[in-house]
Amino acid sequence: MKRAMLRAVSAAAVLALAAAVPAAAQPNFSKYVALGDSYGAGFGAGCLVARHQAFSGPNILARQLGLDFQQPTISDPGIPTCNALLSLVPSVSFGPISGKTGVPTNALLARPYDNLSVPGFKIADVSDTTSGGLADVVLRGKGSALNQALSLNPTFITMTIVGNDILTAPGAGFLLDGVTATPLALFTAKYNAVAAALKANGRTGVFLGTGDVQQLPLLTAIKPVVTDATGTPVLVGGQPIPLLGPGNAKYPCPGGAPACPLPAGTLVTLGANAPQAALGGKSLLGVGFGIPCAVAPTLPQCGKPLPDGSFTPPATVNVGVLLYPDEVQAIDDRIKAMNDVIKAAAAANGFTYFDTYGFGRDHGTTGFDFGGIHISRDFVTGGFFSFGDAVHLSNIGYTIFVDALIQFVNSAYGTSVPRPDVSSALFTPDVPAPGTTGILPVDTSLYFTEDSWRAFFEEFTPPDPSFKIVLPASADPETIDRAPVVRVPPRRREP
Amino acid sequence: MTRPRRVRFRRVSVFLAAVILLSAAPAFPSGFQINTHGARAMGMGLAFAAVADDPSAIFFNPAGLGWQKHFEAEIGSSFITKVEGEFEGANPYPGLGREEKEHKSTYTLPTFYGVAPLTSEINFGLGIFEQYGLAFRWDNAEVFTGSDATTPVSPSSFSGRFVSQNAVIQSVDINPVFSFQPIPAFAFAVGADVRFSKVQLERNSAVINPFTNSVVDVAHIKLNSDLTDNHGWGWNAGILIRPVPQFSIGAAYRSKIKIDYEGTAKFDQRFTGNAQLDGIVASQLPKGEHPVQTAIDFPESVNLGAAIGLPAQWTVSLEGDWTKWERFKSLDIVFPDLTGRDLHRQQNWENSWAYRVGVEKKWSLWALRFGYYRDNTPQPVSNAGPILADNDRDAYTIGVGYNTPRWGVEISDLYLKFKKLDATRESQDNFFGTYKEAANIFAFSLRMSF
Repeated sequence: MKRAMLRAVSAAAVLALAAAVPAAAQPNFSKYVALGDSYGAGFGAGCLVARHQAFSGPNILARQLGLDFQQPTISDPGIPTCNALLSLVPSVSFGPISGKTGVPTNALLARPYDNLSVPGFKIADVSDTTSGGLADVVLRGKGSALNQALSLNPTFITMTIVGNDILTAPGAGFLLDGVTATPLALFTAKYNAVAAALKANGRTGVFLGTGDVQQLPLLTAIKPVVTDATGTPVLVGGQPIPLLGPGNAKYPCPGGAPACPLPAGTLVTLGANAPQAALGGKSLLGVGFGIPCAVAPTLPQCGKPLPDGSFTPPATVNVGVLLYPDEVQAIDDRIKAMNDVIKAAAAANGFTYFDTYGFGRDHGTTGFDFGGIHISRDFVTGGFFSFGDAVHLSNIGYTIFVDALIQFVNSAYGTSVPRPDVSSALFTPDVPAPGTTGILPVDTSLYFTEDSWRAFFEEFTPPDPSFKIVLPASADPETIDRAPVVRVPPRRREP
Repeated sequence: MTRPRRVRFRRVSVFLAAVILLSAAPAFPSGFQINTHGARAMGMGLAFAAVADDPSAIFFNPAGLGWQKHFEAEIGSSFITKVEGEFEGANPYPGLGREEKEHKSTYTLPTFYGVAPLTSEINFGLGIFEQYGLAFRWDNAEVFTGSDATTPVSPSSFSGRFVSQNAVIQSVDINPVFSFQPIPAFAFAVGADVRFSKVQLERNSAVINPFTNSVVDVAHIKLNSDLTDNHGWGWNAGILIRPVPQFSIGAAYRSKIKIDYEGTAKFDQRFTGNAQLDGIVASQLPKGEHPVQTAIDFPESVNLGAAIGLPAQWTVSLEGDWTKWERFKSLDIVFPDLTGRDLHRQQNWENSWAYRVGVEKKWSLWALRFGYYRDNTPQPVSNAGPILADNDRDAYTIGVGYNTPRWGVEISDLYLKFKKLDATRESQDNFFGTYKEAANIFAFSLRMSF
């Protein structure tokens, strides 16, 4: 009897507590507009193209809401030209599917697009940028994304600015405000300003937080230990052999040695495996950088360290391929700080906050299973990320991501937006439309090409686009000190 | 030391094969437990623990043998036909509008019972039946192989094929029992139960085709064990109290039986049409047959019943059956010589009850019976999937019998209607949708008394 009473009282308390928690305002989905970056645009495989845009998060969400939702669709072979897997054997290689680019197919829409996500956009671009690169395709000279969004008088908004303000840091191998990341103060000011501009009576939506970069193939595909051709760690005495790095201030090499084993927790970027012309078409690892000579004495650069990133004033970014544990921690701390800003901005302006970082952490190692089909973050074979793309999602990945977002919306707002059909992404081959390909001669490179590496910094540019990006290779493969300087134009500003 | 014993079991199984036509049964009773092992009992909604007055008492309550004073033999069979087995998909997988059908066919479950009075108080009985069985097979389960890398998987292929295309459990119980009736109003019985069993599981394996970033079938995996090599032991017991001819109460118990299965696994490649991908798959796919191991804890059960005789030769029987399904915690399939291919599937079933009522009206040698029962599923909704989707069900039965002192014949029919299973919100396989199932079971038995 006592137990029954206790249960009754407990149940009543739970109900009372639930009633006391103020539910988020019931959203009005009648006019939905999306602001964002490449993740919001459905960018993948190095391009924006209709067959990917159909699976953009905003488009799927709008479809589930039953809305007319206009996007800046682009025909095959995409802008820039899409990549595809060209071969698995004898080596894994990716390359462009054509020598041409696609064209906008919805450019005559008189009003602004409902999906105003622009690949490459940082938070400042949402309010400040009106042209350049893919912004020309999306914004069409009609003003900033923010102003166009407001002109549509939306009732529900998603803002998917999830990484461009920080992604240059892991790509270049170091975090330096104003060089590889947007300073937190500037990020805070810009985010708050955009959020405040979006605030309106009866309007709500979701601000998506910055993701966990440690879940990206950019940082997970290469193990920080010596591996064999299949990627399996080589063991000596049952222990893996760490790759070599130059050390840094926090983890200096003993006795000032030029190279020493990477400490546990160090991440190696895909750049270490990118074949470079300056290395005779081989990668840093391929010629022996980072590999102890005791393991591979025949490699010409064995025993030499993989490069860490640095900045040479006034404007040279020396790209590295290592993130030492303190750098990993610093980037992680910054992302969390950025997410605190986003969360606060959402709460202050009538929006809710979606924890993109937590989503990545929760599923990064376990992946996803649908009816016995396993989807993982594994590069090339996992299915979650697109062809040869170290950062952007595949159609499958975007669908799974927006499924989580929809479940979050339903939970946050008490709505019942139907979940999307993941099977349509799982079983729809992501191949170019017939007649739109013309695959160029195969670039027989392994995994991540030099072009892919450069394209990364075109997508994720330093805060100052005039900075020079220097890849860690040399005309003289004996040393990486005299690396060639590559000036990377801000491609998104050139259609 | 073990070899002679195995030979003996092989001989027994050959005998069994000659006596009965073994076949798997669909999982229509609760979980994969089957109780339709007597036409007379089935006509009374299987509320037979307190009646138990024919040779099928060996299965329903062996203490009932105490009142059977002649050599008797009964053969029979039930025929289970799936009349409805449909699945409607939901998002996110396999998607709204996706429809699948369970394979419909008729499954035969033969039974044999023999009773031999040894003394005026002690009887011996032998029963052969299949108490546990499962055949959950889907139409269009085999896969379309495609002709090239860009050909989508045929929409006619079963969308759950990467979880299970065909799940089969077969078993044969050989159940010798002894009953003892120390006083006319009371009897009890104890028996041994050896269960031979086999399992078979089939499914396809999927990978992401990295050329198309879409799912393709790359292998068909078939796990199979041999009936004669896998067995387990248990016991059963029963008591029946009949203080006056018009009233009886009975209880029957069957112990758990654990069977450790050893079988073989075979991996057959399914070609995608992409030579590079197919080559890589071929290089990684296990060749030939490989040993595989699993185990099933078949649960213990308790049946409690009461029966009362009313004027004009009416009998009403009530029963509650409890099964300790919580023993079925997980399905673990281990490949001893292959790494990374073990399967561990949480089951987390719950103990279940079935409530039964049966009525019999006799006219001289004829009898007409009706019954109803409600059988609650032990399977959590989240565990339902292509390998087995079970739910609460209602059963309605009718039966007719003609019995002389020397022989008798019984026929009965049972219609089983499952509650619609809504797995649109929770599924551990992430295979969402609704299941609708119904079945019909026809049974007959012939009894000879010597």
